[in-house]
Amino acid sequence: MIDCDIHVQISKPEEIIKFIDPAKRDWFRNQAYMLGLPAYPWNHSSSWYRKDLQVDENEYPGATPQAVAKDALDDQGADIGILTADDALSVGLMENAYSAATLARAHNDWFREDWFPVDDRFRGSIIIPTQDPAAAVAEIERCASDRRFVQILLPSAGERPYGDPRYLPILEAAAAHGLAVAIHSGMEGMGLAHQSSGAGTPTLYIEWHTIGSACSIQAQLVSLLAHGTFRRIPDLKVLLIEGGVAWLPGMLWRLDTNWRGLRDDTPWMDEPPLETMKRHVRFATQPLEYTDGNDELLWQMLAAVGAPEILCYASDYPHWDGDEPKWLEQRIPEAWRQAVMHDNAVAFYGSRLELPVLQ
Amino acid sequence: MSAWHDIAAEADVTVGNPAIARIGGREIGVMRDPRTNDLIAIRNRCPHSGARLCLGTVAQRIEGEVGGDYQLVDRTVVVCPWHGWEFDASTGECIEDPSFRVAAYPVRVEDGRVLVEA
Repeated sequence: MIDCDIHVQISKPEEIIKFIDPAKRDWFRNQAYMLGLPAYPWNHSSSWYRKDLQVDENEYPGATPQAVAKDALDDQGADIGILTADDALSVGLMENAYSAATLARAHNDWFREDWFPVDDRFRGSIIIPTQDPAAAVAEIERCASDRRFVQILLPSAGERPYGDPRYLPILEAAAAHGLAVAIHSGMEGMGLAHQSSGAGTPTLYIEWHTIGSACSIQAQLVSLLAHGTFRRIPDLKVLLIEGGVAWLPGMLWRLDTNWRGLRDDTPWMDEPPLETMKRHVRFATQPLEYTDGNDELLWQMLAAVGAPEILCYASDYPHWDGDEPKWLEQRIPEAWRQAVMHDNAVAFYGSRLELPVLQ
Repeated sequence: MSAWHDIAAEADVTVGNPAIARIGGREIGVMRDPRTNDLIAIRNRCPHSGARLCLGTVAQRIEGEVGGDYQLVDRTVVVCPWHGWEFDASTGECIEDPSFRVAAYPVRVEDGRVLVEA
């Protein structure tokens, strides 16, 4: 089994700060929220985390490589675990682009120095200062030679959707190095990011959790397809994480409908966008929506847009709304299991999933 | 058995002013291509959802390679007035979805009259 979304937590900011130039360390220590990262206005009412995970006092779950190796790899039975950021997903939305570049660099060094050496099953995500595309490309170039990094990681919320031409150098750099582009839901309204739904700022956590992050994932998918990004970068591969999947057929059918009638606005879209999506985009399974007894309908709808090939398993460890692998495996059709739990991720990430060539 | 039918005076078929006639239970329209000045004869019914296709526009096809690239190409399309679907003016094929096709007919001018074979 390959787990495509394991959230590494920062319990002790000094673990990151030690990778920052001494002259800049106090800036990060003196910010209101952790390391100057934009903070969520919507908090889970009790905890972001699974409450069955044992942690020391003053430490978050998933904050040490040993804990992640035990909980997410050993106990859940993962052959490979792809580490994603958690709070630091918002680094590209910091108002201060210089600090963002510094922090992204330190976070990537933290993965490389303190995490990868602990367990051969770890693979990682490069976070980047998206608000400064030139600096973002430089960070990708700096990290790409370490093949334990399998992707760059972007938040679904942003200043503009990622099909915007300003982001082309970032996407081109990722593709040129065989890195996937993972877009993880979240960070709407934080730092430089817009709210995602267009209806205004949500009041409640459940509003954000239901609509906010799903809307921005949908916007990213439509943007990349509408701008012809995959035609311009044929090797680009994108994983959309934690935005749900039940909406996918409806959104793609809507986009295909619009494409037929609006093609003179986007004449570079030379095939139905659904077909482009099938070749280039994959979706992490978590959180797989409950269907009130209509699972068969869900499988039929997802099959109509390319499942099971478009689905890759993700646990979302250590969060409260994660999908445990055995539960997920039993729920999906038997004929899909090998592909969703393992093979699709192998095909998607390619050789970077192989045992690491240590630098 | 098809035959040639007199539809209209050629001078009356101008850009934006189609001639429409009923032939054997079908409405057929003749439209003027603004680019080539040729005449186009097609069935006046969009195969998608039934709009009167000849009330749409005849346009030069736009294509592009990458985002932001707009190029006029050597192809004329009839654009449905309802949903904007594009049909090749010569073949009647919906370019984005060839499973949809509108009938296209031979057309010629003789003694100032527009003749359609249907």
